[in-house]
Amino acid sequence: MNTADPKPPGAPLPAWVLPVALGWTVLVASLLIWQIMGDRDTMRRIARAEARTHFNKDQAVRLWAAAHGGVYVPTDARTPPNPHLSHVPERDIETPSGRKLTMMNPAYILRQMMEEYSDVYGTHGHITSLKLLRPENAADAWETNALKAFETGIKEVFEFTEIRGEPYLRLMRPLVTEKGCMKCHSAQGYQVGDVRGGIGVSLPLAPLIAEHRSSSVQTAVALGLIWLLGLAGLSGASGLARRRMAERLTAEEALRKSEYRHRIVADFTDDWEYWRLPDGSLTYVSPSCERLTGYPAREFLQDPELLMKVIHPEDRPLFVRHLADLRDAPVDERHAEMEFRILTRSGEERWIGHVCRQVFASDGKPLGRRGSNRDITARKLAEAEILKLNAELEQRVRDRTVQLETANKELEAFSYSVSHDLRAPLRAIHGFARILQEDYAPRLDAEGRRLLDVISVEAVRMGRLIDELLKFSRLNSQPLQKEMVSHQALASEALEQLAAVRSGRRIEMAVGDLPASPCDPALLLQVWVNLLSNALKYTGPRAVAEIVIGGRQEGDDAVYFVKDNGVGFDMKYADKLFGVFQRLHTSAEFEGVGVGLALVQRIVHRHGGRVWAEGRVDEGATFYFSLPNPEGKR
Amino acid sequence: MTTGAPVEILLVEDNPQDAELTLRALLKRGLANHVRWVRDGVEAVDYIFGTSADAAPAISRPAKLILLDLKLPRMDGLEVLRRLKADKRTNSIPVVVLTSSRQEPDIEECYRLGANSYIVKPVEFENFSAAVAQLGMYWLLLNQEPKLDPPPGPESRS
Repeated sequence: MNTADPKPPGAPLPAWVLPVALGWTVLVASLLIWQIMGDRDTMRRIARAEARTHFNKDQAVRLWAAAHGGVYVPTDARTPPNPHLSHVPERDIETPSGRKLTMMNPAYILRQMMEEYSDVYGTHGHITSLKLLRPENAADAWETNALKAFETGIKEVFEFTEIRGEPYLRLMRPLVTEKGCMKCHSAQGYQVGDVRGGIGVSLPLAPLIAEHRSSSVQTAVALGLIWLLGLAGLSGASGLARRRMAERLTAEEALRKSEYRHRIVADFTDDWEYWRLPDGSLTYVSPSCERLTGYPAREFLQDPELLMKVIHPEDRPLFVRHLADLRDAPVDERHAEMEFRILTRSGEERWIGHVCRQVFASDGKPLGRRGSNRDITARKLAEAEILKLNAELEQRVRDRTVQLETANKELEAFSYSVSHDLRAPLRAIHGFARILQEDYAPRLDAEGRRLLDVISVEAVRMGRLIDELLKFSRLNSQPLQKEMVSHQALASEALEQLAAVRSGRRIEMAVGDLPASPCDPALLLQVWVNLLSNALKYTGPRAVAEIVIGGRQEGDDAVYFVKDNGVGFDMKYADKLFGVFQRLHTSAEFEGVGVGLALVQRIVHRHGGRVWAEGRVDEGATFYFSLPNPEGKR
Repeated sequence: MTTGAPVEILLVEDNPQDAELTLRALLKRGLANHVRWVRDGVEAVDYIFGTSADAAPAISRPAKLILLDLKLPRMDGLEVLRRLKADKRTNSIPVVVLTSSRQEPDIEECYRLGANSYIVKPVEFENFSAAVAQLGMYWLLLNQEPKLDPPPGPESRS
């Protein structure tokens, strides 16, 4: 089963990204707040300093005026005599030249300065008291609270507050009664050192706040950019981290899949696989070991020597030698095989086909030994069965061979006695018939002499039958003496032997190229003689005998033939041609005893070849034989 | 067959018909006068060496030619041949094996033991007669035998 590799899983956002982003945001925000707060404080300090400056300026003017016990200025429309000072003697005086002057106390001076030069003067100061000379100077709610606070000893009251909806910094300090004050304010019952009222300054904050706002916006923009920069860096870093993570996950996934594949391959084998490290420990044992040995993999891992312990005690030395062979083998052939028996946990004996191989790291460092064990019990039993059957078969063959040898010897003895003893009576029959003819001819009539002739002829024929039969039976007992033989030479020799038969006849003989083949030359000469003498015999009635000898290589066989234009034969008797004593013609037509072709067949069969014939009555015959000749194949 | 005269041919043949045919063939050529016919190997050895094998031969020159069949009762022709050729007193006597056997091992063994000739008895009477007559003529008349001391009795007719 081949499953497509799934895409590597998307890596999640690294866990540290959000806290870092949050931290960064908090940091930048804090900075912003801190900056803005700092700016505000600065703004307020400036405001306060400015307020004090104004206050001090007023104070300086007041103190200056008070120190002079008021100041006389020309009375005019702008500066009328102060009605609130009517109780002060010499409020209005005349210069010797008659210019009218009126006294201005500090409050009056300041009021006029503020009213008439407010644009230049800036911030309005305000002098107030709970006991007023001038009702317009009455304290508002805030001032009233501040004045009350002064009575408890507080020297200065500051507050950022709003006046008519606008932001202001208000500063107020107590107005302590001094000697100069008494001139105007003694009527009110004040003593020197009494807190008579308060002098306040209200600084409008709008411009400062506006400035602060614009600086805050700048800060915010700058910090915002820094923040974004930070986030961008963070995002880049997180992307990088995610990619790294994804790569790692992909690699891990690949590794996991690879491990899975190898484990499946290793675990799901029928063979019992293991890997033993150089230190003797087992790093892997396939679960299949339990099926083979009855011991689970865990026990092998715990005790690697179990590998040796399960081996049948008689086979352990073999295994030890096997290990030594493996160690001593040339590096590039460090694997070895053997077969041994094991005893399973239940004591059952099993056959194991063992193969093992030295393991090397790519740098050539030895990593121990990888073993593979297969249960070959069934095969071994089958082998044992085969061995047993083979042994039985061999015994049977031996028995049969002995029987055959005995039979052969008996046959030889039989042949010997046939050869010797059967001929003797024949000789006697023939001899005595002849003697009868010689010695008693005058007393025999023609019929008597004819009968004696028949006896003689038949006795001679039987003698020849015996000779042929002996030759035929002897063929089986003679071993083949094979050599590479030129059939061209054999056929020539056969024709020479048949010279006597050929003499006096008109024969057209054609001899083609005959391939050489491995055979027993003496026996094959007999084949050629028999086939050629047959051809000569059955072409006897022809005025001109035509005989063709030929041969060719056909596949792994050399095939030879002898073709004649003789009397031929009927193909329906073709199977009888090669039988012993089988004849298709009478002795009267063609002499012979019917052994020649049987002999040919026997010889060719003994060489592993075939014989066959083709022919038609009166149209000649062709006799073929083949001999195995694999080397003649082109 | 004359028993008193020196034997020229010792015929060792168990088959009376063969013996008769052989004798007839020899007779026709006038060679049968001094033929001694024994019927088996033991008789042959007894005749040549006397009854005891250790004793001196009964006759110093037992025969000029021995015609020996191979298949014989009691002691076969090969054993007779072996004994004749193993004894220096008799090893120069020509031995012609005259047998029905065409078996190659027989032929080889006979020549190995020192047979002078090996003839397969033809079945045909004419051939048989001719063969016996020829070998008789050859060995008795044409063949020159070695001189022996002392020559036994008068020379056979030539």
